[in-house]
Amino acid sequence: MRLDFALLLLAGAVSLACGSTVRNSASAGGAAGAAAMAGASAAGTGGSPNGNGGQAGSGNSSGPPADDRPARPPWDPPIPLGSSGWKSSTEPLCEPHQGSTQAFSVWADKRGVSAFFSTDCNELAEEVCHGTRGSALQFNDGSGWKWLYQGGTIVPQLSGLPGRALVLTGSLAGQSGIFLLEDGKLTLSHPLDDPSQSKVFGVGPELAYATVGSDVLQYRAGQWQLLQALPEPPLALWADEQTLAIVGGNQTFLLKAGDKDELTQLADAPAGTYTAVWGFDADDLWAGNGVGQLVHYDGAAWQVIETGSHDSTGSGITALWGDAGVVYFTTFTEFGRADADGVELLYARDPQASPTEPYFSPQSLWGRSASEVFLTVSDERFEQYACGSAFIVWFDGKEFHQF
Amino acid sequence: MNGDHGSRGSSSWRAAARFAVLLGAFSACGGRTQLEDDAALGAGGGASGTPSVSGASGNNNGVAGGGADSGGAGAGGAAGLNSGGNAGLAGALNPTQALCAGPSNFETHEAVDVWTDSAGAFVRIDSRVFANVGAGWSLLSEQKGGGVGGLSGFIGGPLLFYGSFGGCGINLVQRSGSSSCSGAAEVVHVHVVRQNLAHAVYGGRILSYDGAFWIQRGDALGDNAQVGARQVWANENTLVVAARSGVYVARGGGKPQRQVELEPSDGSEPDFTAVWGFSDELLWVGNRKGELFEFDGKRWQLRREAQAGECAQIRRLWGSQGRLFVASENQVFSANVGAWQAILTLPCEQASRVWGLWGNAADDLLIAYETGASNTECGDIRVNHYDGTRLTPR
Repeated sequence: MRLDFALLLLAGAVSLACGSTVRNSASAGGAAGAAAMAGASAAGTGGSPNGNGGQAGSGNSSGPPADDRPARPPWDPPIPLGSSGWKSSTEPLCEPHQGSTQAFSVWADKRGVSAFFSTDCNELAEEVCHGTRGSALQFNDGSGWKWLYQGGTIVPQLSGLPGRALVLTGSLAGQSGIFLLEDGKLTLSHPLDDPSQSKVFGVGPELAYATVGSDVLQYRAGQWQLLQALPEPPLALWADEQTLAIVGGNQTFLLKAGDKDELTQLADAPAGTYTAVWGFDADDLWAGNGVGQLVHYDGAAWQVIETGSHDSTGSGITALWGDAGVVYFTTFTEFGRADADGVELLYARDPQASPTEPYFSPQSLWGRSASEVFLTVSDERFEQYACGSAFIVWFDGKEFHQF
Repeated sequence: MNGDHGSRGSSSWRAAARFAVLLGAFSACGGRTQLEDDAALGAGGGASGTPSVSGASGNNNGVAGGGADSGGAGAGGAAGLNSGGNAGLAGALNPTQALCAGPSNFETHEAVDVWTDSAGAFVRIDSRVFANVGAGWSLLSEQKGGGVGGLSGFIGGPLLFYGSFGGCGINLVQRSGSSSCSGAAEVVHVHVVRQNLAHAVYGGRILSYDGAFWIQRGDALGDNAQVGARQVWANENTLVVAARSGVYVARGGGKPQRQVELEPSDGSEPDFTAVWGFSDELLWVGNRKGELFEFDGKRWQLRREAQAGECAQIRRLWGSQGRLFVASENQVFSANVGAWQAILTLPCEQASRVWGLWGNAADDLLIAYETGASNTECGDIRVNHYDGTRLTPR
């Protein structure tokens, strides 16, 4: 809930910059590629994903919308950047949709990296973005960003079933629920009346969990089933083959491990609002709370770890992702990592910095390994330029790279 | 900003108290005393009404400071020792004694509270905490954000700055001024039992501190919005929660039991706002209507009702040595020798109100209140010390 509120704030801020100039775009023209994951056939032609025209290979044939903003100047984030690109991909991500940002999510598995971006019009602010708003999914397998899917305005959540399908949760073409994008085909896997608060965590090709309101669902063998109804909607979940951890407000820290049938509250969880969770197993769980702290549970004892966060937005920990005993975390203005030996803030925006100063606001976090961690980042100074405020970087364990 | 104030003439609490004897601040009459500013500071005068503490029964007609209405002979004599005019003299002659917090950062105050132990006095004014450890008032800590809440502390240890501010529900503020966030979500009240035992409440939740972490004590009392916990009091064995939905008492670590005796017969919301206890068997609760109930070990009994014209809501209860002090919206009164005695009376208007009440003993009490005066150089929050018979600006 806190995250959603923050997104609304962000949306409001972005809206101020929208609807201004309408000119021919210096970056327009390229055809969007249409690669689909996992061997889907590409319908469109190749080329830069930041161009208009071309056809998306799946789901929507309109391709990227025209981006008539002036060309984006070089990015100057308040972090040192190493060499650009990831693998053989050198062209930075470009998101042509304009309007209030609704989501900017990243998810990755062995096959590559997916980024989902969505905007809408803030009509209360008389924002003019008709024809330019929308949502899009792009994919990069290391060879370049490809326009994978363009939807309408959906309530966006991106996740995936590792090695198999991408998962989009929201409303699309009159249907609401959990959608699977597999082999270039989008299917409604599980209809939902209200998917707005839903979150999905994929464990493997055939195992995933979702929280839908206060309900916890399990996906196994192609079917979604109610696992448990909770007293109140949780805020985040993590799972592996043996374990499911769910966290939320009012000290909620639930665990289902091994052969247990039910999620049960972990005893003596430090009080707080838990906003993010990651685990390595049932005896090595990490959570982030609403005041920017990390909380670790080793199966017997709790530890509260100060991250050094001075985030002034009040977001708390917005995301956790981990590998090999290292958890990476974000607030709206910070990015860091922690392990059993301590915590390190890798980037922290000066709380006193003005909006016109170099900006770097992490929006989502996912990785492929402890040395291949991806961050979607908003830099609102660039909203007026082609490709807008959306940037993606990856962290190799030592330095950041624009991607 | 306040380091200059109070650096002279405040070498000890007792010295200040003696000074105040000469420059007493009491109204000579038993009626309501209204404070317009420091110069007009007056304590409520004589006690009034019928005895009502610990064992009193029957009618409870006492009107704090309202002797004229209810034949308030009571302890009016004590108040008569002090003339109201002298209070202003105290403020004028010794201004460095008093807290001068500066103009408020907020248009309206959201959280003002006072807490004390033998080592010093501490006042929270919204996001700021001021300390006086014998060398005058100074700014101890400033927390980010605002929000409702209060101030408590561990005797000889850190203070507890709690409420809703920047997402941190309970901040541990060391006497050095450094602070750390507990991680707990918003809490509305905290009560400390000992160094490694304290309790906090919000919504339908009770949190307990074990010296390391705040953790939730048992299951929720109910849905946060429906329960609406407001205050908690506890000792080693008993825990009492005053909530919008009623009063809950837990014994020996057991599940809190809702006190059905205290539910209004007309089905209206119980709306309890304050709690204090002297022992397992002597508990007090107050509600928004201004009613005070006492539990004598066997049953709850109504001991006092708000009188016409009073700002009714009971905001704070505190007691020591068997003497209960009560802060309503605009008054502080206590049960003394079987009668309700007004100690401080403010105009019953939104601009002035009693905020906090805490002490070390029945004759060593601090009261924090909002004057209702304009936001002057020193702000509109005042702290008074009560030595058992008279008030002194602090």
